[in-house]
Amino acid sequence: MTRRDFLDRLFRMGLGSLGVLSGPALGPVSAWAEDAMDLGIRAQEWIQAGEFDKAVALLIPAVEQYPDDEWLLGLLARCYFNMGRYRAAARICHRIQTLHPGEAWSRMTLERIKQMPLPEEAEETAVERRPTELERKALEEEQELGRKLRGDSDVRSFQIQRIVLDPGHGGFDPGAVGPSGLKEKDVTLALALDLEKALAGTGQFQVHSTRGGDYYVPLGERTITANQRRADLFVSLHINASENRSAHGTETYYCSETASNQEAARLAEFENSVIKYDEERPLHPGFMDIEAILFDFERHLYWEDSKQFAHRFQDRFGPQVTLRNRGVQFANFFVLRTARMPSLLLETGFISNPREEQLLREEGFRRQMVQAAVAAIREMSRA
Amino acid sequence: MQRIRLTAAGLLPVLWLCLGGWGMVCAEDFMEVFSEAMTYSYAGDLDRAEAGFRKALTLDPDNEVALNHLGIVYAKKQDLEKAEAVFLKVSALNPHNVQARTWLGILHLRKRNLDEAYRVFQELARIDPNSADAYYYLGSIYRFRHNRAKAVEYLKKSRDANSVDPSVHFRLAQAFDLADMPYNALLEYERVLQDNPKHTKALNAKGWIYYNLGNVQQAIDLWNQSLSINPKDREAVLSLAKVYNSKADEAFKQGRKAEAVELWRKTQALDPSNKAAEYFLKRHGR
Repeated sequence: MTRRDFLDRLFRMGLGSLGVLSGPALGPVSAWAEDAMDLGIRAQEWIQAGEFDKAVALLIPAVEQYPDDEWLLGLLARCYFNMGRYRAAARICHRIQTLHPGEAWSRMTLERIKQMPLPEEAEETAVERRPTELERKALEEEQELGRKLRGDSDVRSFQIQRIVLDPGHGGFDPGAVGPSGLKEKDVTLALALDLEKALAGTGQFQVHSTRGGDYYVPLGERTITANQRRADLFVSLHINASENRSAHGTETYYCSETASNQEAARLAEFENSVIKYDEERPLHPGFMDIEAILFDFERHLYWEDSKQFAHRFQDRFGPQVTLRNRGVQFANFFVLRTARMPSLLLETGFISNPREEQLLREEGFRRQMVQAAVAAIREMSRA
Repeated sequence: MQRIRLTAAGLLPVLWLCLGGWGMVCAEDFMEVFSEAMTYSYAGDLDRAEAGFRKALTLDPDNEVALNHLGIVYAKKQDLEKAEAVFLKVSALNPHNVQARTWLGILHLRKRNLDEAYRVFQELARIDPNSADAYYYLGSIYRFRHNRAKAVEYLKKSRDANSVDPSVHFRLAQAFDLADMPYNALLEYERVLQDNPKHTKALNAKGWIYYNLGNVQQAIDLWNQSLSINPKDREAVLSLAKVYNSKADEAFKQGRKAEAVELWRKTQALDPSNKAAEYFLKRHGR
């Protein structure tokens, strides 16, 4: 009920002209004694007299009757503010702002409260109630698992416990095909299955894959899997190809807003061509969206981690894999950009190069790759 | 006793009381200028707001509230250096001004400076051990480092510091989820949704928790709920597409072709660019 609703109702009843709202009429009309409007008006009198605790005693039952009433909430917030109960005042001002965005007094009061450290305040006594089923399970879970959580305070270190591997292409999409018919989708799957086994074998990591067989997974669903699994690292496995048959070597990509070179830009454009970009929350001038700032900060931290991890991969591939180290590249890959964790795209050789196609066919060579990748990931998890 | 309603007409004296209660210089004309600047600021008229706060500061040069709001206007105008200079000035005037310190941290986040942001929020937590903001940002930073224990620890502190901000519950839910504590994550997401039933990110995240707990239908219902709020919600579209495709594959492998085709059609209706659904419908959809 708002004041306007109340007055409208009153005047429709013809009571307005009878002076019901005038001072002397209020006292004896017992029917109005517990009405929120009456309680609010009486509370105002106590506020005027500086007796805020007495006003609060009237306002709490009034707000219980009409929890969304801006006027009653405003009076209660004023009382708490004047009693020095700033947290309680802030809570109510937030409530008013939720109900009536831009309401001037609560907005200004919140601004003022934001300036200074606030003392701890005793919570209002909550009404005892039985916990819900979810609350009970959450409590049990916290008692069982919460104590086991361990983490050092070094904000530079990044924890890797869960990894999602993404064998590129699959099913009707063979990816690149080598001169003698070797398909990229088969090599990436073989590599992913071996890598999954090797990583899980360390006992350090939980490993999942976006596909475990020869079927197609759309690009968008690959990062959804990584997000679903709450992965700490996403590794997409690909084999490079070029019209130039002599092109050879390994390279590791990470995501960036720009591309390291034209070739990287072309590759990203090719990989991204099947999907439509969705809108993101841009950082607009004239507006400070804190959540957008955090989103941008988070994403760039992951890209920065990805860059470091990409260098570790290439450093490991150098001595352990007998292929040319083509270095670390970056480009705006959709499959990497939408992952909420550091993510890499490995191009483990050129399937278009006859010599490398032959090597990629060999289990022993793939084992070298897997060992190098495991070593790099273990190093990252210690970083 | 005279009955007086505290209405908008009585706003300025109340503001005066409110600001003056902290012992600041608060002439009536300062309040008028300041109040007008605030109105411009909230309306997004940043040039007029800046001019207003500058004018207010000529009347009361060390007024922390006006300085902070001038800093916020600079930040909104993306003039981060000027904003930082103003917040540093407030911090020098009053080392316990938590709003200036919070904004300094936010500016470091904006500049993607991890170490400085972390340092400033640690300082803030030291100055104000009950600061929900300090713990919120520290917990968020630790979550971005996938440091489960610290993220949960700090975000719980933020929640427990009487925070009324649904973002705190959302980030804490994410931290619990990362820490393999699905029921605590669900409870925090529910708190987000109590405050804002249209929070599609919370609905989507809840969907995956239910899915991972084996409750596929509840997950589908939640993603559909997201789509009823925002039909273009990418996360909900891709989540549903993934689950429908997966169910379709399973149905197809078990010989339930009609069911598989219907599921691929659902995927395609949601995401017309979905190559998997397109391919299988071409082969089996007739």
